[in-house]
Amino acid sequence: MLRRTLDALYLACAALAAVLLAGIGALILAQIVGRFFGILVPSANEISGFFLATSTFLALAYSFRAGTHIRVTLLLSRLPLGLQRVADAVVVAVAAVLSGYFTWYTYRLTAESWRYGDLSDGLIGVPLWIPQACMCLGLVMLTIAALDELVAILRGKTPSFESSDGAVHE
Amino acid sequence: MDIATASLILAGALLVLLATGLWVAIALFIVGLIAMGMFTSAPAGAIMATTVWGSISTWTLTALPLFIWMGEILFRTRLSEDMFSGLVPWLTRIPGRLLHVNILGCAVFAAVSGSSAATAITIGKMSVPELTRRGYDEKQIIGSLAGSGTLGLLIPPSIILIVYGVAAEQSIIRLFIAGIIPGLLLAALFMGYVAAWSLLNPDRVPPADRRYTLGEKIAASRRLIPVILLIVFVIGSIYAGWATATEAACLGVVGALGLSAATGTLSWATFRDSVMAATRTNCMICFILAGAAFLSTAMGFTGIPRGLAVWIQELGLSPYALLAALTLFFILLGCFLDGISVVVLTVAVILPMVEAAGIDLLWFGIYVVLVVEMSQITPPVGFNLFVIQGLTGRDILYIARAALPFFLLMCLAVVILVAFPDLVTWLPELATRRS
Repeated sequence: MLRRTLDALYLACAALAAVLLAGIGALILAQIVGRFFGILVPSANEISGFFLATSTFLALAYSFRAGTHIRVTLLLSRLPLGLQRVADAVVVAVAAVLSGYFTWYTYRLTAESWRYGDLSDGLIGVPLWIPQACMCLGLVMLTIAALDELVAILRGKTPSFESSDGAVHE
Repeated sequence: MDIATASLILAGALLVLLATGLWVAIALFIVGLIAMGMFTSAPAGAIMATTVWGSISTWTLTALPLFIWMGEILFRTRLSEDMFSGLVPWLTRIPGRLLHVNILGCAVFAAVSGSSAATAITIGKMSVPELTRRGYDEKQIIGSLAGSGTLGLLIPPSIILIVYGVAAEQSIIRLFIAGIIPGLLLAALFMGYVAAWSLLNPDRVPPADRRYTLGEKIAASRRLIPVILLIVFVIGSIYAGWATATEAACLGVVGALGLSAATGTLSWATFRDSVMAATRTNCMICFILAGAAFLSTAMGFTGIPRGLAVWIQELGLSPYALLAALTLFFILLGCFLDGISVVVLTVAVILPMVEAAGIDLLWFGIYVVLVVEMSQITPPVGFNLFVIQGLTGRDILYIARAALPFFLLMCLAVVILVAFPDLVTWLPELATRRS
């Protein structure tokens, strides 16, 4: 039950990230087409930047589990399997701590933008707390994903970022 | 604490963190935190959140996901089959014959994708079995594929040039234009070598199957022509100053979707897969960039980059000696790290030093990418080696040996670029002057 809920959450965030990434394309396209007809798409540049940041952070947990993030496994792969799992547990724990720390300060950044009502530059002033809250949510999910992996490794399972990565890096 | 000791501690910390298998981006964040802890009482966490937010939410970086997406769409079309059947008729009379499919195919695909691994897979999955079946020398097949796969990093639009441009605050458009001539130079060196090798070893190159008439040639490559047009359009619109890098990337995505629809490979499944794959890759690269942005800021507090720059100036090293040392250092670093990580680390730490030595940062971007390309085919960590290992089942050392001549040709290309820096800077200057 918990497993399925977590997986659904990771996937939902990733799907939203994918929509936002496609949204960058749609926004820029609207800007190009609009220019031909003399229509200005307001704040397209700022908003596409927010889409990018939001997409990046929302996809973190999912791509972390998919083994997309780069790490050096040169030394690790020469260790016996038992030691490899110990090392995996340590780095996943370190990742969880860093991610938690990062989450906390991103939360404070978001709260400050909310309190002072910070708006983006450009024609449409987008309240900055909206994209920043998405960044914060992405980091919360990454922290959860790292803890999730830690529990899995301590239970003797193969971490998902290892089992799912093939010989092919995209 | 003096700067030398601090540098050693930080470098040591980075090495240990990376060696234990920590993710590169996270290792960059932690080293940044350590650096701030050692040198300043400024609030590290708050600075981290602000720097990362500022570095990722920028419009200049939006070209990155769009170019990645464009490559992912084309990767899922019949491009590799079309490329093979379209190139073969033109190459049967050149010494080296179909081996040139690897080089030209990679050069063409490199121009629509920004990733060298994707380039090597797309071309290799068709050319390796076909060339092997026709009796070409296995070592040459593998070597030319491994070498040419790296063209993806240099021929625009290149993902790694965007990363350098954003991190070093250089114009992405100028970098793209600057990459054109060196990329073509490298492709020409590779083709020249394959031709020369074939003339020296005529018994190891299978004969041409038959002659093609001009009409047949054109008919065979009719599916290739839209791709070539897409490339000319994307690069041309950047060069002519009609579009920013982001706009060109966006039009590239539209063009790629159109091509995919026209060849009947566009479906909801391939569309969704292409967006998801682009989302993952984009996330990975942007997270590393975020880590690098924080590390750069933290390094600014330590004064290490400035210290290094002063030290290099006092040493009175000539730019050539500095570049020779840096080349060696990058190849060494590239043996353990992927290209993007090498580039962002470089920018965070040694850019002021390079500037102090009087080296043009635009030229340096092309140079770094070329050297990073070399590291993609050096064992033990070279993404192109892994990809080709997956395609051929040969072990990595065999592939690295087959790629060695191409590695040496890249060294030659570096020497040429150092001797004639105009090869890099001439075209961007021409484009700027005109517009």
